[in-house]
Amino acid sequence: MGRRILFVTTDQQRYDGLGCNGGQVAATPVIDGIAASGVRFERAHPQNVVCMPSRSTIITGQHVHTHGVWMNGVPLPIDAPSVARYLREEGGYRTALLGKAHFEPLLDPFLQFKENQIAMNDSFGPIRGFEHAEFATHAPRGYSHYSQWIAKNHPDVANGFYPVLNFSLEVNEAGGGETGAPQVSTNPVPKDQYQTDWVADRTIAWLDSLDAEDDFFCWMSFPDPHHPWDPPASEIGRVNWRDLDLPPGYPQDRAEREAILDAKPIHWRRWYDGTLVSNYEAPRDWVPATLTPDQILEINARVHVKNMLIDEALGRVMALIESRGWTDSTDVIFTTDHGEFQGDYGLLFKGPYHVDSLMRLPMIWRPAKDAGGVPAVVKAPVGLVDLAPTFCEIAGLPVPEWMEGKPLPQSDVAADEQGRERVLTVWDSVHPNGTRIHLRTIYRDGWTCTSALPGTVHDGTEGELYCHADDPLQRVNRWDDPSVRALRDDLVADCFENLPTWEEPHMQIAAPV
Amino acid sequence: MPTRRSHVIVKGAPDEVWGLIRDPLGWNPWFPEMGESSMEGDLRTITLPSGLSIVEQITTVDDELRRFQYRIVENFVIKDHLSTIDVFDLGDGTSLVSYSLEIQPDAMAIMLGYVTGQALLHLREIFEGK
Repeated sequence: MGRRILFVTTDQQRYDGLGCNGGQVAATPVIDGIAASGVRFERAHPQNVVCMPSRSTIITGQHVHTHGVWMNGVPLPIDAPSVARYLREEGGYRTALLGKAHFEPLLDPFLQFKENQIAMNDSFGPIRGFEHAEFATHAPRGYSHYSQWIAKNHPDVANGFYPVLNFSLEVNEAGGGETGAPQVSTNPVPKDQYQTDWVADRTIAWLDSLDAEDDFFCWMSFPDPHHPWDPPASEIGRVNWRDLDLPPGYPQDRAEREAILDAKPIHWRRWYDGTLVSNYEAPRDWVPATLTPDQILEINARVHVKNMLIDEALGRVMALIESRGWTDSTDVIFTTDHGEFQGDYGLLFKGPYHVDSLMRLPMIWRPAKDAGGVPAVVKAPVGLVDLAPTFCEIAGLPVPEWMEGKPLPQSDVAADEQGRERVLTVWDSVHPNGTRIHLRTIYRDGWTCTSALPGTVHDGTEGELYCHADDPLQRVNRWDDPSVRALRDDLVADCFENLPTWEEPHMQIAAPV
Repeated sequence: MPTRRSHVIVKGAPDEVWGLIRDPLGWNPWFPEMGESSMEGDLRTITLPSGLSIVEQITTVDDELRRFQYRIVENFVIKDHLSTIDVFDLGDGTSLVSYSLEIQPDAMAIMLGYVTGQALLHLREIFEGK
């Protein structure tokens, strides 16, 4: 019997959404408690800021240009490297993924992808090394096990969920709630039928099916707090949006807000003004400049509610682990795949914007008590690419050569010993309208530096450079500041020296998402 | 209007390749993603593996040009669709097969572009196995 692994992910959750990271609204006592007795990372970045590339990095332990899922809609090959398969085959681990997978497109009318096929065929795996899989996404539509469960047991509630896509299969811009905010609506679904509780229920059921001596790698993957912002109506009253303060990342003065955007590469302002559609992850027909302060508050209130529901669901799973006598032998790792603007800079959703809103992730690791370790805060940069090697180390297995990260450090001293200096993030997108954007980003020494490569919007001369100590909200772009030109050149060179080569041909896009 | 085009070179004589394409009900071996199909007049109804049904009007079956064309009709999402498959004689016992389409909305162009490209790869495999 070795160390067990409970790996918990959320989707599109900000660093500051948790109490342990300074969040002031959502009560997250379970996660905060895990953080207090474990390691809390203050500078964890994704290698891409949208779901499919980021999740592919988690499961493969590879950078985006190595696993090849370079944007949403590009399917990760079914035989791609998988840490779950490695743990199962080499470590004898029992393995399961409960919740959102999204290594393959969700839009799949031809049912080409195994992730969608297994739910439609009443199968539960195996898939990608997970002996058991039960999938869910942001609503009970499409081909997930959650959709099938709702259709079979609670068909009356399905239509109460917000339609994530509109009739053009674009991300829906329709507004609701009290402020008309996009992707906000009132969802009458009972809490115990909502996807968050369902994911926890299925996780509990799987864990409870294991023998007492089994080692397990259990990936519990909550689809929330990702939009649509339609948590169960019964829970909305937990946070009154009128009681909230606007987030510090939202410059309330319009002139100031637009001046900040104007100092960034041009795609920022063009999206804000509604003159550029570069990616599929935000409503095509929604113009960020129309976003009102009240809408930001209402959306934030609903995100806080979703975060609280996640925390409570995790608490139920932790109670099951305790009841099975596994607490001291179980490593718990909590993180997300990418962040969300939630009003920062007057924006929502995500896209080719490499700032803390989307890149600074909550990440917490409580090593099994049996393995020792002391509570710590790690300020050194780490990435989602480091998770798979960490799971290997926990399992007592060598980190395979195909993984590109390093096991997470449990202290800054350990990080120094590993030679950790930087974390890298890339963005590549090609929209059907022909827009191409390519970003390469490095975080090192307290600076974030992004090069905008030539595409249809940038000519290769633009970029972003932020000093986090002086400018924690990344409002002052110093890319063209001559006083830091040498630093900028060094960061750009360091970024390109450490990024894997993106070999051609690039894998084909199969769906928008 | 979004457009997509895929092509493959098939190790088969053009008439032999065209024989697999010109029959609207004979696509399953090289386009299994299409699911089940039936014909009524010039309308082909396909039922995708996901359960979705699509009605297509076969507009062109040109044995001289070896061109097949169809439009998706009666669909509340798909607009302005036309797909064209051409088989070209490369003169050395092989064929060039092109599958192009125009369609709205954008999302369908991406998905149909991908799946029709996969279909052409199946077609190539059929002839490589001969």
